[in-house]
Amino acid sequence: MIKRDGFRIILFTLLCFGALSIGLIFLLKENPAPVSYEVNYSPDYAVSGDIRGLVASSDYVVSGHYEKFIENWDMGEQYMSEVYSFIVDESFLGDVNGTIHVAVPHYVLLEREVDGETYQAKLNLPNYSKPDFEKPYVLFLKKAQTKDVFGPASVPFQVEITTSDHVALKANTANLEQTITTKKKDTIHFYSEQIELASIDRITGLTKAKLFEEVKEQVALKQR
Amino acid sequence: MRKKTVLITSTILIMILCFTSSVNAYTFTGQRWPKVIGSTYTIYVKYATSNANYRAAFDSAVSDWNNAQDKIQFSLSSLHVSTLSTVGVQNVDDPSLFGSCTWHWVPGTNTISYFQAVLNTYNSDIVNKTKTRRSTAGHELGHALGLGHVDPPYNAIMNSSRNRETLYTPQKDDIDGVKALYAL
Repeated sequence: MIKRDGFRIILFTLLCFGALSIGLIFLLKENPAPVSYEVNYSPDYAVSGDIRGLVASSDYVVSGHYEKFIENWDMGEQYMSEVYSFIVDESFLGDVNGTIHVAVPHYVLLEREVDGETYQAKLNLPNYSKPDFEKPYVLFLKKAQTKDVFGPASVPFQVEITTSDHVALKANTANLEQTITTKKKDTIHFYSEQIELASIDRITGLTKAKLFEEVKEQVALKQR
Repeated sequence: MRKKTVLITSTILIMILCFTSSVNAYTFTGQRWPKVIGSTYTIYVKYATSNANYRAAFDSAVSDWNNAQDKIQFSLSSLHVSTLSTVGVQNVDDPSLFGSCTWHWVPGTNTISYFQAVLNTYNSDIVNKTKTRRSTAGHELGHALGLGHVDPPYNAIMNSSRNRETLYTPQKDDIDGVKALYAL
């Protein structure tokens, strides 16, 4: 009698464990642990943080100021820029004068497909720095191929003349990464590599006079 | 007297070691391929362009990396139809952009699962200069291996400030980086 009761208890316990395991497996199948996907974007630009390198990369070097925003322009493959009109005060290299259009690359749209759905992230490009219409700039440029605009010759390509005693190289510092949650609660982490401006910048802190003098010197050397 | 000689000799030796030992500049992206200890890992890659010039640039860059070390090798062929890793082109009208590399990881790990390396055909130097194409292709494949950017003034294909017409193959620092990343 006792033996039979013991057998029943063991059988009952085993059945409980079995049911519990099946339930757990079912639950895990329904709600699997969230997965984290990673997408890393690394562009190869002409990079220079000194006047010699910037002039070497450029076909045009001009000073002046931004006038107004013209349009957003897809430079190709969801690589977006903002086009501004720019009034040239002085041309150091290349034959340009009057008002030109300058494309400032803004962001790239990165994509990742998960479970048949495409997820996107907009990440800023290294050259993005919203122009200040009140301040003069020196720009290092090349012509774009598919549109009558000038684009960056290098990263960075804008020197902002903050005061006559101080100029600053401009580069992007914001919106470098984004995390997106999918329908199944998985995450996709998008990351875009930027330029370590501090390690290459040999321009920020110069006076306007010194900047102009060095630009003219390097242009003269390039044209020899 | 003898003690003094030993002291001076040791100091000189230490100074020589300090000044002659090379400084590594290479950096890592933080991800790597799942190489097994003791064996060479092969990354299978296919073309995503039919243009002969751009294919040739990646062919040269693959040979450059494969000849430089034997830890990890690229196998680039149009026969590798099932691989997700590709080399091709992009058409972005930003004159400062030479190319790019995007890589994806296996979820929850730091293991690379596949990559896409591209040359920017709207950059006139990429279109017109063979060595610049090869240099850029080599740089992008360096990212695909797990190498990050190197700051100037180091001589490295992973340095974005390099002269792409004179520096178009992996340099000692780049090769040391790959050997360090896939040491065993």
